[in-house]
Amino acid sequence: MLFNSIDFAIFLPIVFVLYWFATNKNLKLQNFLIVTASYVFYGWWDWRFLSLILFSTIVDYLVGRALASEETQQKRQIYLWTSIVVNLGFLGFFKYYNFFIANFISAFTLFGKEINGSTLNIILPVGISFYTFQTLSYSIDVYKRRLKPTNDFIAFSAFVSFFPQLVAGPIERATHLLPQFYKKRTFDYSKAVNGMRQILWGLFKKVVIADNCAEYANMIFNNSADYSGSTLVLGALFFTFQIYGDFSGYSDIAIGTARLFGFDLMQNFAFPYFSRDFAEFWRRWHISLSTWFRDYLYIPLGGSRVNTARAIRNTFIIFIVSGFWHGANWTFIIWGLLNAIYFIPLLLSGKNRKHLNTVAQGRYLPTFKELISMGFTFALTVFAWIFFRAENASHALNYISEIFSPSLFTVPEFDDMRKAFTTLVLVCIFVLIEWTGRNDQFAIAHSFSKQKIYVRWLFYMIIIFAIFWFQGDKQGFIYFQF
Amino acid sequence: MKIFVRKTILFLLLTVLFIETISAIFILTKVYLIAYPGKEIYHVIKKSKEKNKSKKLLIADSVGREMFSYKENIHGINSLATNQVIGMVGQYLLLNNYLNAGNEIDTLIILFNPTSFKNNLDQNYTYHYFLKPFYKKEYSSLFSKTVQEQIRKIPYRQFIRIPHIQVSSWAPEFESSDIPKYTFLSPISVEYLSKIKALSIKHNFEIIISPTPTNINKKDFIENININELPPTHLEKEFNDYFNNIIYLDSTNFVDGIHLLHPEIYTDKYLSELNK
Repeated sequence: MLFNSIDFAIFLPIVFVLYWFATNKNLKLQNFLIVTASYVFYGWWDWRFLSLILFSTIVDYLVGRALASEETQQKRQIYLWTSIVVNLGFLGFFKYYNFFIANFISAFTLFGKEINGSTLNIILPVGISFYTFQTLSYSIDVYKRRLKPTNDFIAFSAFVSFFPQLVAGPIERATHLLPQFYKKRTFDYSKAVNGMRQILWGLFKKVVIADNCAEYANMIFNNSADYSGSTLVLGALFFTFQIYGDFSGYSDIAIGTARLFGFDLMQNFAFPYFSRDFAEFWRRWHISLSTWFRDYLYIPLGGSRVNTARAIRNTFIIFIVSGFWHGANWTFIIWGLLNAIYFIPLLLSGKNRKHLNTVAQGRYLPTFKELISMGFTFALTVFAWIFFRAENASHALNYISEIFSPSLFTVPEFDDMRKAFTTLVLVCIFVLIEWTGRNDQFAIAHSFSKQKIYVRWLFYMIIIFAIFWFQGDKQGFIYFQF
Repeated sequence: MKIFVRKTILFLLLTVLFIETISAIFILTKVYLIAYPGKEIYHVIKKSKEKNKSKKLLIADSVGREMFSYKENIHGINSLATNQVIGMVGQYLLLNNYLNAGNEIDTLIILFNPTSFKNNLDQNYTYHYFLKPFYKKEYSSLFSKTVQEQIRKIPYRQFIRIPHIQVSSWAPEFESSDIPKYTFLSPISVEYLSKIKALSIKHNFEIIISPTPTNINKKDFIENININELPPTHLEKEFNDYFNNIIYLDSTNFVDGIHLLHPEIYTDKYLSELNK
């Protein structure tokens, strides 16, 4: 079920009413309702893959129970590895099997050996990378004794399948989300209103910004050989805003929806395009995944508190794995590699924690220096997105080589320039609103908060009208494919 | 909790009122047509009801529209080109409007890509491009049983008159579950081509069915079409000429495999062929 669908618009109020009016007196029943609603939500897309979620849930629940009663280190390790193998096994099969087979065959062909092997027609279950990482966090945290294992199967199932963030995150830690299922939730008016606001802003980002930009990004990337360098730059810019609007919009709707049910999810995006360097960008982009890799991969490898060579190795590992997490394609690996290359100079010069605050804090406008560093970081980000969006590495390289041709200095040209111009104006307005709200969790969290209620409501109505009026052609969420 | 629910309901009601009022104003003042996707259909419908002295009328899909915009009158050809989403029934309705306005023609040109005849009002865009402009009382008597049945399959079709639906480009997900038994001419195309033929006899005009330049990758598909096995449209001779006149171009000549990169070149070529 998509957040921007009529199905969800009907589903959400029904679950909300049942949750707060019919099951609010019984925590177990409330959790059971969440599990049921989550399975309906996921099954709407393809009920067959519910078995995968259920299987992962049962395995990790049992692993948790086993870890609770086991003191022998060796056995504890076996239990942990059971969870890791099962979860990553599913992920590996559904997401990476064809990639590895195809590359394995290519590698042998390169050395003159012909081997037989066939790829399979595998459907990637939506959100598998997200819920796999979420349940893994539980097994690892229980193993490391950072979390007491649960003996409440319903609460644990609700934690694994919680519908607002099941298919595209934020990837929650068991230490943060699971305890929220143990406590009785009481309705918090201001939290719910804030949730509604965040849902609204998320919808605007997705339906107006991402879907409109997608139309042009798709057109230009899919026919890149026919376009001039300047048009290709525009295509990369459209994709830059598409992916941000799409993914951060989804996160906003997920966080806002969770708030309606009394839950707090972690912030997933913190205005990343206003970053002054790449270290800051990665503290602000897909925070739940970056911190997951930081806590469960980077730090166990030694992080940056090792000698320089190992610190560089660790950085490459985390970025490449992060790229590969996005999909079984070399383009994602190159994208990760590029980000590592952007990051390493900051790490080596000890400047990776230079910009911990928000840009231009306490001021309306950035300084010239801030503007230059933001522009530079943004330009490098756009460049890296070309690899992320391209069909394959050679497509990306052709795209880039065409950008750096004399046609870069021509006027961009493609079908329906007027509508494209409208989209660009919308993007500019969006960036302005994001800039004004950059100190908050999401851009309109406190917009007009000191004004009278009718002013605030009018503002929200205008956003809703803009969603109807300027909506782009409906597109799926990009991150569903990861 | 109760305050939240009450306020939310009040807010939603006010929002509906706000949005529908603004949308209704946009419809009345026609402001919505400024940046509306598919606005050309409304312009073409308006044009189809106006008096025109041209004796040659052209109806076309979106490739044909690139070659003969409805905004221009090229070499005395009056163009009502829109796109294939309106189906052959939409093209027929435009022609019918045109003739009912008292216009006389000697030639009707149907300029279509070979893949466009397959439309059976079964695409996502049908809601936006066909239902909104044509699903009206004015045209209901001209809908065949097949068209009515097809329309009944489209979800939320009753909502098209709600102002904000009318001004937005929203359309529900719609994918027909029927597996088509045809590859070239859809049942609706067959019915409405026959109706067009009937109009040509009644109003005494000639019909020319012309192909737009076609991607070479469609050549095998087209060559596999057996003209003798096509359902009867009373336009067999015209279709015979149609297949003989297809120009195949390689993919580099297209923006997206169907639409032309340089349509103006083919407009000139087509006109010189037509004059011959």
